Amino acid sequence: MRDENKTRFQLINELQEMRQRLSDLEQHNIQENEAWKTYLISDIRQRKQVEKARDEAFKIINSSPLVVFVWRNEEGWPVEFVTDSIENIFGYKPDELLSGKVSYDQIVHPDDLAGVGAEVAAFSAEENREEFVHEPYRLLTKEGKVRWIEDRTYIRRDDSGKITHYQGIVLDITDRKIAEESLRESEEKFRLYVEKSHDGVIVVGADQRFEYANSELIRILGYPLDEVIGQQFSYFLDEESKELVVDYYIRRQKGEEVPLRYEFNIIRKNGEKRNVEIRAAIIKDSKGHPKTIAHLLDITERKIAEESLRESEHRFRTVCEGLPGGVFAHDLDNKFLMVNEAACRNTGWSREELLTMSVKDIDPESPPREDSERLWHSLTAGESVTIQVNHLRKDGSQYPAELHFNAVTLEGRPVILGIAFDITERRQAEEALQKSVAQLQAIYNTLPVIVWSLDEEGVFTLSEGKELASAGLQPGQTVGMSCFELYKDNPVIIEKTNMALSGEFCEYESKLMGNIYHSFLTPIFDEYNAVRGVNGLAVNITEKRRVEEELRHLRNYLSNIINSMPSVLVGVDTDGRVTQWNKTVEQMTGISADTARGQTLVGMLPQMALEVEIIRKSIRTRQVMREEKRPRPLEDGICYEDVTIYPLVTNGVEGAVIRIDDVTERVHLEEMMVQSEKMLSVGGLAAGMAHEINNPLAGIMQTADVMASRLGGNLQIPTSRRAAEAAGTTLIAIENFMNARGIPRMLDTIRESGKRVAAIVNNMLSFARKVDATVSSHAFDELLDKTLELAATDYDLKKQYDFKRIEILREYAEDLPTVPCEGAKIQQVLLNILRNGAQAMQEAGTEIPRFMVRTRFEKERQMVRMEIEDNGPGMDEATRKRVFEPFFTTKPAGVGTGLGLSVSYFIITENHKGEMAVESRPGIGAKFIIRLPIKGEID
Amino acid sequence: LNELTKTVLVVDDEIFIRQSFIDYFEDRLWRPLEAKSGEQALALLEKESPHGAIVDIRLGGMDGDAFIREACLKKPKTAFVICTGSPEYDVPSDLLRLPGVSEQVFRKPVTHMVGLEEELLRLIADMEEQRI
Repeated sequence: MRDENKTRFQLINELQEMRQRLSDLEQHNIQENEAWKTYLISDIRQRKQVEKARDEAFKIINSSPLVVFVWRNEEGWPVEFVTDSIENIFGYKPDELLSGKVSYDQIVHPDDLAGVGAEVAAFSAEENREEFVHEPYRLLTKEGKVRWIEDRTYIRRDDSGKITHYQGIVLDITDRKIAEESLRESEEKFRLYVEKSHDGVIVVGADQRFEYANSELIRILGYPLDEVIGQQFSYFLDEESKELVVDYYIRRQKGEEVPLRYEFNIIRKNGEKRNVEIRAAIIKDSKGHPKTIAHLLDITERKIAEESLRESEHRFRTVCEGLPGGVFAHDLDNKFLMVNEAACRNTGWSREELLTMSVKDIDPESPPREDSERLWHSLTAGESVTIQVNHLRKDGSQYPAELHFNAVTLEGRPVILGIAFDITERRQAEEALQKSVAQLQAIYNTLPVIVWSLDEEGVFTLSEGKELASAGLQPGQTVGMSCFELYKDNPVIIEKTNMALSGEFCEYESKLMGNIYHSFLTPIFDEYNAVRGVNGLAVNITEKRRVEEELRHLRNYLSNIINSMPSVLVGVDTDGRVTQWNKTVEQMTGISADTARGQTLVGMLPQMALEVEIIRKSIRTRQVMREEKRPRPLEDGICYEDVTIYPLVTNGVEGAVIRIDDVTERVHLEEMMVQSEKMLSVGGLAAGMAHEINNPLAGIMQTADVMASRLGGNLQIPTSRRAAEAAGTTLIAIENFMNARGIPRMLDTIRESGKRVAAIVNNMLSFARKVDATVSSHAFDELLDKTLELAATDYDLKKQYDFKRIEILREYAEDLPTVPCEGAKIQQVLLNILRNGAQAMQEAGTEIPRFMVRTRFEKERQMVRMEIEDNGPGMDEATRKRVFEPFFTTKPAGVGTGLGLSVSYFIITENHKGEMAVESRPGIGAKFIIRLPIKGEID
Repeated sequence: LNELTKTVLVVDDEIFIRQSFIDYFEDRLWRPLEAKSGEQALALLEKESPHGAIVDIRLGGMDGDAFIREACLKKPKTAFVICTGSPEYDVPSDLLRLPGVSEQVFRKPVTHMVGLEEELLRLIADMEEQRI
């Protein structure tokens, strides 16, 4: 057995006993052997006596767990002799072994056979070895059961010293083996129990020395084991504890009554003092010696904890004292154990009085004692309990109190701690609040809003307001419902509500049930600045939106109208500042509406300087003011404008709208019409006058013609010859005379002058002459070609220019429709233009004179367009503007009549409802453009 | 010679014009007759049968058109050429249908007298053919 096992105390007695019994048995066995040995070597003479003794011996052996064997030193150790006891113990009859039917090695447990053989061989090999003992090994009974055996074997040798037999005794030790095993197990358990105990365990002998100490005790003492075992316990005690502990020890040893549990101090090896608690008892060892067994617990930490607990209890009381609420601590019998100052103040009783009272005294309706126990249990289970009660004052009056309960342990006792707050003021405040809530409710139930609150989970706690109806909801209908669930299909609401719940103020617009709501979310914060919910307010802005939309639409519409007006439209306020500035005026001035707005009118439109006073007057008198055809000088001439000022009187917005129309075109047209009228009247006049002029003219010219022919020498008129002869002269002489005096030239002058008068009259008559109604469809390119041909023959007649020198370029459109018109008149117009152009080019000495004639069909306007462009000197703008005026001419006096182009203009615009225009740049050329409608409209 | 000579009647209320025609046709060896009105001319046609007539339109009394209508009834073989100072005058369609009336109207002043004479001769020649 190992050293450490010796010290296991609890089983030591038992173990000792066992060992005693075993040793007794062994002693006995040895004595038996001795007897048997004696028998073997006894003298034959004493046989009878010996046989008797042997029988005795066998009797003893056969009734004991002993079997005696004699084995031959041969293979398998055949048995030569065996006692009958084998049958009792191993179940084999002696004959089964003796006959050789069963050899000894067959009954040895197969696992042990090799070991047994090795031992036999080893011991046998030793010189002088006479006997040996096997390690306990196993034999098998006939039924196959395992039996543990011990043996003692003697070696028998022959004279030569060779081993012939072994003889020995085999002892069945199975029971002992089992006992030892269970002992070992229980010892193990004991060892574990003691060793692993959280207490230090010691055994102290009578001499006050440690006999045993477990590892925990070693830990507590801080000394190594070998310094502890054998040491007197007082060695480890501090001075104060020695006397007490030694005294208790001695008295306990004497069997006197001492406390079962007490505390003292020890000094650890490192000098540290520890507080320990001991529980000690007396046990007696197997020899009956009293020993002290003790459990030792290091309670230093616990002591400190207890101390701090006491301190915290003290602090607790101090805190309670300082609480604003009345603290009523009572035990489960409802007796007050502790009250604070506030409790006394609130109830009017003194502390001493209260401490003699119970809960019932200040709250007659308080529950009985059993309920206090239940309350205490639920409080310790973590429930929080708050109730409202009426507390009785010493003077008999009452006050409402809110009681918060806590379970505490005071001085080890369960105590209910009630903290009572006087809520008189709060009650009043609550009532006032309820009143104001009712008022508020009345307000928002009449206001066109929705008011709601959400808790921190987004669940409605309030939903009110008259406007709820428009969202299809009843007041309070959504309370208890989750906003996130209710509006899961409305991502805006979800997003904004989440934002608000994260502490952000937000607003948004959302659509519900066809309405648009403008909502505001305000997070609700608690005193720790955590969001506890959200307050929401929504206003139905559907109508507002609709009106806004309409307004915007209308505004767009109006501004579109205003901007698409060709007129300049400028709004001004009473101070003459611009409020409205349309596109036309933007284009005209190049100033954007944004720039113009707010500026003075005169600053933006300087030409209105003179109108400022008129505008004021218009606003004052609410009269529309109009000024027509106001001329305004431009860089390249004069433009005419109609200015109209409309006073604004609606909606109290005073101001005026100024409308400016560029009527230059109209003025020109009007002038043109006046001109036409003039021409018409000239025409009318001419028609009447022509006859009167033509007749005397005929007299002049025809007479001059006849005169010329009568005086002409080459025409032999007999009457003239006779008249000359009668006058005593000759025609030759007369002709000579006339030529000498320039008479033929004079006659020519008369004739030519007459012709010019006739031409003027004839041209003037064109205005009046009725259309010969020879309207038919003409192709413009053909007309142009014919006219060009005509113009070319003009050379011969006039000799002033050579038309054939002029280069003609033609660009005729292919798909040109025919135009119903009077071919002759159109030709007249074209010829006029060509003649004028040719003359102009000739006069200007244009090096390579050229006409470009073009035709084109203007599909959109359903008109055919002809262009005749020359590369002559062109004309300046002033000339260009007057070119269609009657009697306007640039030709030297006597060359042109100034009627050609005006007549052309008349033919195109009046007779054919077409258009005629001229474009020109001095030095580059002139371009005449004629347009005629393809659906002829001729007077 | 007489057989070759043609007679022309000049009807015009303006003496200078009438005279200028008479002078011209005399020189061209015609036998000119003159009348200052339609009525006078009709009376003259009672005794004379001119080959052709040059007729003004605006006359005192009956106008040239009316004269031609009546003269054609009296002397259907006569050729008529209208010569007027009125620019807007057109020959009435009933006169145009008469074979002796020229469709070409001569405007005053007649600057090309030879042209008028040729037209008259052409028309007279036409009427002679019809007469034969």
